[in-house]
Amino acid sequence: MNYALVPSTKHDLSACPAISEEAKLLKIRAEQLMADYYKPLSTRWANPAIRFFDLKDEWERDTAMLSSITDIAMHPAYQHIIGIGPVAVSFILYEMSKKPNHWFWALKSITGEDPVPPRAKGNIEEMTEAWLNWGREQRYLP
Amino acid sequence: MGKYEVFKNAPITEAVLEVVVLPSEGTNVESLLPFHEPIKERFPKIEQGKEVRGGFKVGVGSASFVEEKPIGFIFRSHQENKVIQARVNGFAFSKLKPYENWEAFRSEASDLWKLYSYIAKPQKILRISMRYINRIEIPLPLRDFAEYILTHLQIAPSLPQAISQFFIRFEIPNSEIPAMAVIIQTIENVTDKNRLPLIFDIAVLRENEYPVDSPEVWIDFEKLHDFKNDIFFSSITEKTKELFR
Repeated sequence: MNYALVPSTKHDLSACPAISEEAKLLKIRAEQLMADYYKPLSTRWANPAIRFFDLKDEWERDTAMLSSITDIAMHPAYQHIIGIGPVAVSFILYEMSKKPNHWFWALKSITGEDPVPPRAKGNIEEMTEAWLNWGREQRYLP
Repeated sequence: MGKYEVFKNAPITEAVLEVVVLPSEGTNVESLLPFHEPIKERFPKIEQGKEVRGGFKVGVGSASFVEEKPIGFIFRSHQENKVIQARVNGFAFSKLKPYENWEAFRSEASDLWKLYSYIAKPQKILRISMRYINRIEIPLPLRDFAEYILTHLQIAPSLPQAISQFFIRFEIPNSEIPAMAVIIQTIENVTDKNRLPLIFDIAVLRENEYPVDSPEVWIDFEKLHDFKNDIFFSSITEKTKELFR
């Protein structure tokens, strides 16, 4: 090796938004490269998005037949998602926007907030809407 | 004559010039629409530009976290070989092949940028960049990539030297401008004419704040263009130049 390695000063070095066929090919190849890179578990779980969606799938699969909210929230995958911390908030809110589910415990644990008005407690649709509104106000959601 | 030769059959398949801005308060996608009026004769085709963002999921199933958000408009010329991307956060002008020369490209990009900045009224410029994607069709058989390209993948001599695919990306900082080059190389499938297309993509960018009407922007674009040319011309050989003459 006859070149020196110097640190990159910026992290966002996405180049100009090109549109030619060659640019599309480069984009596909880069995506394939990223997919290959994230196949091993060691790199896969370093990415919080992949980690979140892996855990979410596991949680949904294992708790589909449960009715106890305590059992649902105490599932190891759910607790692991709480452990991801603030990075998981936007993923959770995005999931809630697609399908209401028992994410309230996790959101409350991570953020320390509770935007659900007392009258909405127990109503999953209204609780979801309250959290989604909070997410928009906090700019977690567009 | 400039420092570098201008080729009759330049391998450039796309040249892009981009200016990233800090938008003014209240600028939205709809407020960019008047940009089309003065250019609609030359760029009659219009479509909405969208940004796809989110996390992706590897393995069974498709992407789990994807959303599309309108970010501006894309305007295409009659022959679709010139494309403008007018976004809330910036402007880009692409020229697809055939590429004429830098002066013509810069001049048209500069006029379009002035129009964009008049309509969008951004607060300031945050980044300028340009990107040249080259497609070099190397005649086969090929003994060594170094016959045609000097910035290339190197494999240990003790290993088999046959490769079926590669994709490399690296960054080269330039402390004088200062700027950064992002270089990507890959190969496509062999063509019917038994040639191996090498994609040589060179993007150069400078992150710096400029006033919107600063002439310094275009001085720095010249420097970026020189930097791009240094990378390209230092990387090709006489044999490669012959392909473009």
